[in-house]
Parts: sequence; C-alpha cells; structure tokens
Amino acid sequence: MSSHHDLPHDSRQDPHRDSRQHARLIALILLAVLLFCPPLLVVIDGLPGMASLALYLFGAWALVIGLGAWLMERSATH
Amino acid sequence: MRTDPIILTAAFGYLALLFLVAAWGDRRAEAGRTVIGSPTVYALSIAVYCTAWTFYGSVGRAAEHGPSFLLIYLGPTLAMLTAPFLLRKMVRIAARERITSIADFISARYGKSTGLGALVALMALITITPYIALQLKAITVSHAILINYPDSADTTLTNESFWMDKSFWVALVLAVFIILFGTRHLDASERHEGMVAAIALESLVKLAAFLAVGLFVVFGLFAGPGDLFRQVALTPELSDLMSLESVPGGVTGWVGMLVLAFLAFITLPRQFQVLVVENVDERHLKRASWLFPLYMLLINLFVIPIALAGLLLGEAAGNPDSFVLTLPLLAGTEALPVFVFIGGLSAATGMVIVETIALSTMVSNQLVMPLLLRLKHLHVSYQGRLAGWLLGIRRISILLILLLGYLYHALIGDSYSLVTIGLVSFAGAAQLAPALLLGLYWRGATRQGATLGLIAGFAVWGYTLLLPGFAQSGWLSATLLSDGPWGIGWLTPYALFGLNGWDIYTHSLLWSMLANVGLLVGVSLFTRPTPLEQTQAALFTQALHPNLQTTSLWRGQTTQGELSELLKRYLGAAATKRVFANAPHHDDATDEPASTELITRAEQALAGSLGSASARVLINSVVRGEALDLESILSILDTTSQTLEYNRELEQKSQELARIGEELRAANERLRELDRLKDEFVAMVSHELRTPLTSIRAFAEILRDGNEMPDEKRQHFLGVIVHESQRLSRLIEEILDLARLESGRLTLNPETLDLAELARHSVDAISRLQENRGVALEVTLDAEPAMIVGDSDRLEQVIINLLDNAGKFADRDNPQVLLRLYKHKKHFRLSVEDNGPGISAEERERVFEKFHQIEQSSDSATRGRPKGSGLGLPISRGIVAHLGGRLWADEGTTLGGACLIMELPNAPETERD
Repeated sequence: MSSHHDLPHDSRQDPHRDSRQHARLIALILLAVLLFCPPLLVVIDGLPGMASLALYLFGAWALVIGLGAWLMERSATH
Repeated sequence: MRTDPIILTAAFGYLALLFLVAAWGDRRAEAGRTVIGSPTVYALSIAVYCTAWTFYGSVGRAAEHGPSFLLIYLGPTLAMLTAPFLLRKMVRIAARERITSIADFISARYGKSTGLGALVALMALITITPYIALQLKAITVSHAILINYPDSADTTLTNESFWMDKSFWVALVLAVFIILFGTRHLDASERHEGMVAAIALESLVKLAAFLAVGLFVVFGLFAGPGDLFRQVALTPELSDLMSLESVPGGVTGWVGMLVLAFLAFITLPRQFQVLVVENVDERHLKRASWLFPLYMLLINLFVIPIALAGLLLGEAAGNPDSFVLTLPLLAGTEALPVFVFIGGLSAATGMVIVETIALSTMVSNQLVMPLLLRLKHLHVSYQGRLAGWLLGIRRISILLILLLGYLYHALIGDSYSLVTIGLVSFAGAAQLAPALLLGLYWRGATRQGATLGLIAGFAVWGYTLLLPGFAQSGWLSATLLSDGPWGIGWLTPYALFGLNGWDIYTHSLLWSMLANVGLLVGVSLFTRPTPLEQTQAALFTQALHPNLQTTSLWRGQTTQGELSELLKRYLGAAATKRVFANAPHHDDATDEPASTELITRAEQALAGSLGSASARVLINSVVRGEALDLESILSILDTTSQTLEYNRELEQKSQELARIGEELRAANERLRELDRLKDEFVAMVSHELRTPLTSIRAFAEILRDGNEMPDEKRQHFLGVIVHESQRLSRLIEEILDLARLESGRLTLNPETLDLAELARHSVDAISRLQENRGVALEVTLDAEPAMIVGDSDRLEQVIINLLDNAGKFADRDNPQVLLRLYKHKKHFRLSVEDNGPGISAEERERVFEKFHQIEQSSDSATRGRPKGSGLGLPISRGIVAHLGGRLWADEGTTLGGACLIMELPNAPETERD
C-alpha cells in the first residue's frame, strides 16, 4: 500500500501544485494591497520621525518585490 | 561644455546609437537569433512606462504633494503581481487571435466589431496626444534649461518660430526613426524586435542617469542621506512634506490614485504594446512580474532626496519639475547635466516611439482600413498593391500623430505642469479598463454595453478633466471652473453634483467609472449578443482552457484558389506563400476546397496585418458558411471538460479497485498460510502423539502375550510404558497450553515477585537432572532483588524449559550452561547460554515455531530422536509475551553456543511496595 503512494504522479500533481502556487500569489496580492492602503498608512503616518511614511513605503514595496521574486523564481525552477 | 553644438551632437549621437541597436536587433531577428528572447529584456522594455514624466515629473510631484508620486508605481506593482492570471490570459488571447493593439483586442472581444475598434482607436488618439506632447515639451524644456542656465528656461522659448523650435525637429527625427523600425513588416502582430531592443537599452540609460544624479545630490551636494535629512528636519515647512497630509485628497485621493495607476498601466496603448503584443514568450511574465517593480523601485529611490534637496536650496534650484537637471547645474558640474539630459531624452523618446507605433497601428487598422474596405472598387483595381498602401497609411499616421503631439505642445502645452498632463491621460486610458477586464471574465458583456459604457465614461472624463484643462489655458472662460457652465453650480467640472474636497483625478475616476461600468453592465444585461459576439466572448473568457488551442474554429467552405487570391491582394505574394506553406499540393489546387485550418490561418494572417474586424469582413467575402457558433464552442469546452472529469473519476475508481484487489490478495495469502500451518500442526500433533502411543501399545501387547516373561523384563517394559504415558500426558498438557495461549484463554496470576529468587528456585528444581546429564551449571545473579510482575509458576516453567533445552543442546563431552540475570535499562534480562553448536542467524526466529526441531546434521543420527516436543519455546515465548516481555535467541557471548534471552519489565514502584 505504501509503495502505491510512492509512485510518481507528475501529470496529476502539476495542476495541484499550480493551484497552490496561485493561492500563494493571491495571498501576496492581498498582502500588497493591505500594505499600500490607508488603514496601515494612517498608523505609520502617525509615528514620529519626518520620513517614516516614505521609509515604510519603500520597505513594504521592497518586501512585496522580494516575496514576489521568491515565489515566481521558485515555481520557475520546479 | 554646455554649448548648443555639443549638446545637439550628444543628443543626435544618442539617437544614432539607438538606430544602430535597433538595426542590429532587426538583423539578428532576421537571422533567427533573437536578442529579445530573454525575460530581462522583456522586463526592461516594460519600463517604457517610466517616461520623461517619471524622469522629471516625479521630483516635481514629490516636492509638491509628498509621497503621492509613489502611487503611480505602486499601482503597476500590483498589476504585475497579477501577471500569472490576468496578463497571461491577455498574452494567450493576443497570440492566438493575432491581436495588433488594444483597440483590436477590445474589438475582437466584442464580436470583431469595426465600430467599437474605431471608437477605442479614436479615444486612444485623443487621450494620448497630450501625453506625447508632454514628452516633446520635456525634451525642449530640458534642452532650454541646459543652454540658458542660470537664466530662466522660458526666456528664449516664447519668441521662436516653429522651425527654430527644437521639439519640432525632435518630433521629425523620431518620426523617421519610428517609420524605419516600426513599419518594417505589414504584419503588426509580428514583433518589432529592433525597437524592443532599443527600448530596453533606453530603460538602462534612463535608470543609470537618474541614479547618477541621485547619488550626486545625496553624496555630492550633501554629506550623505543623514546630513540631508538633518538639514530638512531643521526646516519646519519641509519636515511635514512627506506625510499623508500633503497627498491631494488625503486617504481617498491615495486609494483613487492607486486604482487609477493600476488600470492605466494595463490600458495605456504603449503598455499593451510591450506587455502583450511584443511578448515573445508567455513564461517571460514570471521574471518581469518582479523585475519590473524592482526597476521602478530603483528609479524612484532618489526622488525624495532630490526633491528635498531642491527645496532646501530654494530659489536657485528653480522649478521642482527640473530639479533633476538644475541641481547638478547649480553645483557647477559639466558632464553630469548632459548625461541627465540624455537620460531624460531617452525616457521621452522611448515612450514616443512605442506609443506612436501602437497608435499608428490602431489608426491604420481600426480607422482607415474599415473605410477603405467600404470602397468596393478597391477590391478589384488595386490587386497586390494594397499591402504597400497599408504600410504607407501607417507611415503617414506616424507622422501625423507626432505633428499632432507637437501642435498640442505648441498651442496649449505650457499651461499644464508635467504631472497634470500625464494623469489626465492616465484617467482617459483607464476608461478602456471596464470593457477590457470585464470582457475577459464576464461572458455576458455585450458590444452595445461596451460601446455605451466607453462613450459615457469618456464623456465624463472629457468633462471633468480635459475641459477644465482648456479652461485653465484660457481657451474657455475660467468661470466654468468656479461657477459651473451657465452658472449651474452642481455641474462644476471639478465638483460634479456637489462632490467637494476630492482631488480632481479621484473625482473624475469615480464619476467616469460609475457611468462606464454602470452602462456596460446595465446595457449588457438587457441586450442580446450576436452569435459571433457570443463565440468571441466564450473564446476570450475561456482563453486559458487547455483544449482551446487546438480547436479549429471555421466550418465554412471555400476553395484554395479564392483564399490565395484574397491573401495576395492584401498581403502580397510572399505572405500568401507562407500561409499556404503547409497546405497539401498548393500549386495546382485552386479548385480544391480549403481546409478549416487553412481558413483559420488565413484569417489570422489577415488579422495580424489589418486587425481582426477587417480580417473577418474579408474572409466572409470568400467563405460560404459560418465560423463555429457559441453552442459548438461551448460543447467543445463542455465535452472536453466532462470527458476529463469522467476520466479522472474512472482513474480514481480503478485505482481504488486495484488497491482493494491487492488487499484481498494479501488476505487470501494469509488465510492460505494459516490453513497450511493448521494442517502442519495437526500432522505434527498426530505424529508426536502416535510415537509414544505406538510404543505403549507395543509393550502392552508384549506384556499381554508374553506370560513366561522374566519379572525384571516385565518391570522394565512397565517402566517404559509409564515413561511414555508421562511423555504423552506432558505433550497433551503442552498442546493444551498452546491452544490456550493462542486463543487468549491462558489465565495468568500476575504478582510482584523477585526474578532472582525464582531463578534460584528453578535451578534447584533442575539441578539433579542436570547433574545426571553431567552438565556444569553456572549461575550469575547480577541484579538482586529483580522485582518484576509475573506468574511465578509459569515463569518457573519457562526458566526450567530454557535450562532443560540448554542442557540438551550443550556440548556432548563437556556440557556447560550459564544462567545470568542482569538489569538492562528499565528491564531485567535472564539469559541462558550453552556451549553447544549454537543456532545459525536464519534459524533463530524459527526455533520459536511450533514443532520446530533444529536440524543437527551430524548429531541427529547419533543422538537418535529429537530431544523435545518442539512446543516448549513457542509456549515460553507466548507466556513471556503475555507478561509484557520478550524472548529471543542470540549468539552466546561467553560460552559461544546458543543464548536465549528473556526480558521482563521492571515492576512499577507502587506495586513493589
């Protein structure tokens, strides 16, 4: 029985992996929207320091790009 | 160094370099060694998004409105993240339908409608001309600043006639460039590889120029970012600049701008051109989806420092829109301003090149071509020359578009700042988004809905953004903005229906999108699409369906001759040959019916050159019959998906069956094994029982018949009978034990006891027997007391059995047996070892099988019968297992013979007390 599970099923696992990949991407898009939108921005804007909002925006942007690169390149090599 | 000849040489030298790169790219493409087959080049070509507006305008916007300039780039970042869903779908459709522009795309989606294509082309033309004007303006202004600094740039600009105007000449040079590299093939859906290579290079140049000026400002003018920000902190009016307060429209304006940038990024004609039409490979989207956002992040990295530095320096830095240029000039550097000028030039020319190619394709395919097709006599009288005509049309429209841009710049361009023009164009282009995006996902969107939505959205955009622009430049009365038309207050363009306090772009976006989406959805729900519309809708919404690629969509009939005639007339002989290349016997087959694939390929070839609407009209003129209707397409999709579903279910079922079959087979095997064991057992038992019974019976018969037998002989025979009966009863006892063990009915009386004492007791019980056999029994008790939980009688039986066995199998001449008791972790181990021949590794488990007798090749003959029933060890193992312990055989470590080890767990503390 266990040997049955070890058989390679590439053809059937691909769409499965695709849909997981898509779910991760959608989560990333939602995260990006959250990071770039007002509720969070208003909080950051209230922090002391004159460039905190600008620093936050660049940081969040870099984070989103980094995560995106990681997701895309990972799936490209698989 | 800032003399006119040097700057002009640099500028035209740079354009010449672009020519060379583009020519090289095209040459390589013709040789089949493409230079744009890399995802990085693709990502760089998308960076045509960053125009002169980014290059000069971002700093201006940051200086005025704080961090809101970033929204123009955060929106596209979000759009690029959707690449695997949205953009991939668009690329897939464009490749299959040979889409040439966004107008063609929308027209094809809504039933290859000529009217809708023309409408979109017209809208794009109106929206984008100001944007082209903006680029020309940027080139002129930056040139003027470079020449006149430190005088104001405007001093010389105003009084020049147009042939002295640099932007006029720039426009003309660009027109030549675009005509050379943008209209080489008639087939607009084919890649402009040279152009894309040149654009990628331009993207690198503008990035390098901007980074150079940024580094210079931060580390040259100031002592690093720390110093810059310290000085800003000392200036109170600047320290609040980068907060949310300086964003126009506040939180609403922020969200509005983000949405606007997202939509415009997808719908701007030049972005559609590089993203979709020029895409060589769908997989490039993956890399581009993060590399292009990274590019945008880098080119914006120094915007805030430059803006703050410029504001700190005050008057001397001049207009914020030109800080990028004036700051290096202010510091007195010579080469850097020229490099910055080249960077700005490259940003502007890149945009103008791609945008003009996209617009000219739209104009020729969506506006001019449908009109030409209406003129019936063209069909007959201009055979074969129409192909040339089309290229001519495209070239003329390139020239006209650039002149239009120049006119706009010359007449009203001065009244707007850079960013304003750009955002007005953005909002106009965004009007295409509902028809495009809803059309991709909602099959119910109809042509009427899309048309009315587009017109309404465009009208609202014109009223709320374009018209006020005219009013500001003095073409209309300024009271329009303050009091509304004819004094009607609620019609004021910037505060429609009294919606006050929003920034003008979000305001315009809200009302135009409300009208646009509202009409698109509302009208679509109440109109009936034509069959062709339904077909196209299904093809677009299901574009990623795996079975769609291979399906041929024509069912009509025509001859190869007619088809080839048609293609020759519009595309020329060479292109026709390419289409017919795969057709069987194409030389003399003019009367043969054309296959459906051939018709599809012919339509695609026509669509790639003339746009899908015109191609459809032309194909319809020779093909009798219809393209597949909606129902057939849906049935293709449905049957394939249903078949796939059935296949999947079947596969699951058969796997399940195979699994169950496997289980059944295993169970059957097991049953057979058990049956075999049972038979063996019965045979063994009968055999074992018969042996003593036979001898008892034999001796009893002798006694019965032999009356004159001497007494001592009779005694001996009786002794044998008693001995054999004892053996028999012991055997039966053992069989009963085994039966109880196996059925689980063996009753044990577990109690806490000392294994050491028990061992000693057992040794005492067997010592006389061992002495008789001459066995030297040695006992080593390393653990005393060894408290365990067990049944003393049964355990004694086990130990005696082990000792007895060991005695039997020990060496014949000098038999030795060693009993050891020791502690092992949380267990006690009792081992019995002999100095006999030992048990081979493969035999060790089998000695615990019922009736197993070790084969003793040499000894069996001399020793006669096996020395036991063969049930002792299985019973012992059963008992020990019942008490939670283990019994196994191992190699003897001390005496070298067999070693049987019994292991029992240490008794828990509570039970010991």
